[in-house]
Amino acid sequence: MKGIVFREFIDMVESQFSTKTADTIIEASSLSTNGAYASVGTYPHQEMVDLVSNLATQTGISVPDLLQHFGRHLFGRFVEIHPNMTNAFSDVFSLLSALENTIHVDVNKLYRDAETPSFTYEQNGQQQMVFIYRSRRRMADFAQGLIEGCIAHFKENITIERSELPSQGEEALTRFTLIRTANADD
Amino acid sequence: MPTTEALHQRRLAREISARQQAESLLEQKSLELYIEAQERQAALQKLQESEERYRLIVELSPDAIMVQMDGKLAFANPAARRMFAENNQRQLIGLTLNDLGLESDVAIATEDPSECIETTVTRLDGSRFEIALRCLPMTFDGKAAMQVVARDISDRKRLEKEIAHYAAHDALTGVSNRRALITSLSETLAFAKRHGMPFWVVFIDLDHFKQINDQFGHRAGDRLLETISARLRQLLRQDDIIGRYGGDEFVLLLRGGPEARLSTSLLERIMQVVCEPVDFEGHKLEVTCSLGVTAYPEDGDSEDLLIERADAAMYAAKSSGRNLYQRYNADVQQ
Repeated sequence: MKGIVFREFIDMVESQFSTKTADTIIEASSLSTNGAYASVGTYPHQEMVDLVSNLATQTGISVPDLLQHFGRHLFGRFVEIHPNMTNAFSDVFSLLSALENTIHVDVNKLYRDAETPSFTYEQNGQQQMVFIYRSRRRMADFAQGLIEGCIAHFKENITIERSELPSQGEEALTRFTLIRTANADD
Repeated sequence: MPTTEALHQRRLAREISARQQAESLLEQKSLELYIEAQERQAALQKLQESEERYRLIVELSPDAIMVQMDGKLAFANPAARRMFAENNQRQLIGLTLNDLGLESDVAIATEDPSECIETTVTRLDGSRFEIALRCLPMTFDGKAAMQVVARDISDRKRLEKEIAHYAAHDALTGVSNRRALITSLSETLAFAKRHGMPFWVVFIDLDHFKQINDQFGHRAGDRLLETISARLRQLLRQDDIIGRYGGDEFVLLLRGGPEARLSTSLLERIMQVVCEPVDFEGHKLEVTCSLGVTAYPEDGDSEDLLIERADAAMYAAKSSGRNLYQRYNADVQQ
């Protein structure tokens, strides 16, 4: 996992919980670089699992809630760090449909060792998109948070229905069904 | 519980470590980029050398190499410019293959790139010449294109024609040699059998030709044969064949339409042009000739019969006193 994700996570913990909480979970986790992450470096995914797990212990908030929260936070940060990435899209469906073949392709060009998850999607008209998340890291909660962050960014009224699918080997499969709902103004 | 100072110190230590990692990664990345740039430079140089080699091959090729793209010529090497007589007024680039008379040939050649087709094309000055053509689909500037390679074969074709001419014609007189004459006779016979056409074989032997050679030399004899051949060529029609059968023997194949008849006046004119004197170094050379004539189908239906009987009729004319023509009949002894 890229160092930028760890840095964003620790920054989020420091700003939204406390510097002490961040220090505590770093000290409590088994980390290869003692919690020092360079944005462009690559670090074991397990370290993120440890950090989130220890944050859950420290805060009493469940791991899924924390991951979803971090996903929403990170999407907002991506918008700040890489505005061109989001400016190129007009709505949630167009961004998500470009994720696999455009955004992740660019990410992999930029970071050759990046291990991006794979997504498949199916758009049913303008109102519904079925989005299948597939990853060995089992970070569907994090993915959900990112999708929610995306919806918040575009200020769209979209509900997410989530269902877990049978695993395929080491990969976990999660189906997100995104349904546009009428605006309150309509 | 750590003090604020301790927390700060640990945080600072993590930042310093992260920075060191980033610097190390940056250094590593710089090295990778440097190596990549070196490799790219080496590959580029190799590509440039390769392109230069191929450019030279194309530039120096004696064959015309052209590229057609979007229906027009987009490239032509110096050989193509020379071959098609490019000038300041008209240039190959931008022309269509049709302008060179090549369009249909290219379409045929494209069907099988390994096939070399021979055709006649037009230079920019309007003159025509013969080429061997080969076409290959290719990509040019990222677009589908057609490479056209043409070799000027005009000299070869001219030589082929000359060789074919020498193989079929008598070197001294320029009329058909004996082998070509027999071939023409076979073809005439086959055509006559298919279409029911009559034709005649006239066997000519010069009377006392040996005396000319003995008295004035072989150059005189040669001059006489050349002159007589030329006169016969002038007298006969385009469709008729004149062949030199032996030393002073000629055979004529007189071919006409289905209703054609052999007129005695033609035989008389033949004898007349043979008899006319020939100037040679202040002398007037004069010979007469004896003619034997056979007709298809009356006098035979094979090459051998028609020639042998015409020969026999010619001998009958000689026996009757020379300077005569004799139509073959049953009384002529073969």
